[in-house]
Amino acid sequence: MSLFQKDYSTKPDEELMSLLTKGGQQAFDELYKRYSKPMLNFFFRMLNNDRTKAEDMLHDLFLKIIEKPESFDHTRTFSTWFYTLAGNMIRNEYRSYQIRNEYMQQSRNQSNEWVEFNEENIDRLSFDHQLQAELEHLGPEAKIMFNLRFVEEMSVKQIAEITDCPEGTVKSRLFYITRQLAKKLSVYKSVLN
Amino acid sequence: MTNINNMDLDLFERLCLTKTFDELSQEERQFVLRMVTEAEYNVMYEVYQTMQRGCPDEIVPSSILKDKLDEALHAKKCRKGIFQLRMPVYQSAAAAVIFFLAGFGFNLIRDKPEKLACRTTEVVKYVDRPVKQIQYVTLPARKEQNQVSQPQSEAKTAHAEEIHGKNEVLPESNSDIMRQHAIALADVNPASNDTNGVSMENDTVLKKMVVTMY
Repeated sequence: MSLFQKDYSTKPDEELMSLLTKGGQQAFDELYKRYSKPMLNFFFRMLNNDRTKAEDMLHDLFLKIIEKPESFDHTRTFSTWFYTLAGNMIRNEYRSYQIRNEYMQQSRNQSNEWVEFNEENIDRLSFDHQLQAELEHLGPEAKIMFNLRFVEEMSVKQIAEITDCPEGTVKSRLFYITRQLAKKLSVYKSVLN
Repeated sequence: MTNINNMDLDLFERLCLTKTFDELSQEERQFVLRMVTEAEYNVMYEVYQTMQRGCPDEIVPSSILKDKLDEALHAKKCRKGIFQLRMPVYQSAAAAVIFFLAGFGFNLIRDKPEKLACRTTEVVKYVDRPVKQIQYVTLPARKEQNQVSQPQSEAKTAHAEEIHGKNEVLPESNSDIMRQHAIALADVNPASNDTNGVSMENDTVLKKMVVTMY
């Protein structure tokens, strides 16, 4: 039986998408296996660590490629196209008033917690947490760029494609975002030294 | 620190991702210090390192999610199966023509039903208008009914005398009563003229009646 079964694990994403257009279940399984976890974590980080919302978004994202696999632009790489879809979904989510409110409220709560924590003990762990808190304060565009570059480890070219910005703009934005974060986290310099 | 081009940004990121400030060469330090301070560089380095270590709280998608998506894919396959029956254009056009002709022929074969004569009968219904107000006019009764043997002139005189005697004041607004009253008086005047010798010159109503009679 296994002799006749195609090995989908070696196939590139783009080919799997072509197979999915014909209704290939195995092609879908392979794409899900490759992208479900990173995409879920991407949504999770982007949506204030809300697991339920992240899973909903992941469901909607995969539903898009099930319902309209032909919308995939074969001139682009699948991962870039897929992250572009995810980025657009996040932007739409941020546009809604509700999430903005939740986001502001949560950020405020987190900041208050960390002020108390800083007074007690400043250590590396608190630096990590404070960094996460500061990342939450970033706007959606900056947050997408930063996560794609340093968590998903994408190239500047890919990010430029996903965010529809020139490469130079992506580079300079990433530099200024990191610098801005560094200024806010400069209270930890004694620990870091 | 102001003129930062893309090349500088690439190099800066590469250094910041790999080396601490202490590990930088003299040239690299000079380059870095053109862009940020030493303290900023160290924090930026730590930010990059933290991000590269990854987030500790990575999550895994639930199995229910995959089941739902599999169901959606299966449903789409079923939908596609129904609508994928494609037919060439000429075949569908031929089918349409056949259906049309078959329907036309069927109409010709069928006997036409006899036309039903339509008759209409007009029924006019009259509705009487209800009487809402009844006006009663009371006139003085004539004495001639009781005195049948009396001559007409005498009866009229008596009737006029009775009216004069009562000296009734009738309301001017009721024109019918006024007219009846005038007629009554007109009947009386010739008789009174005969006996009293009064001229009829002033009696206009009597004059009119005489003219009408002749």
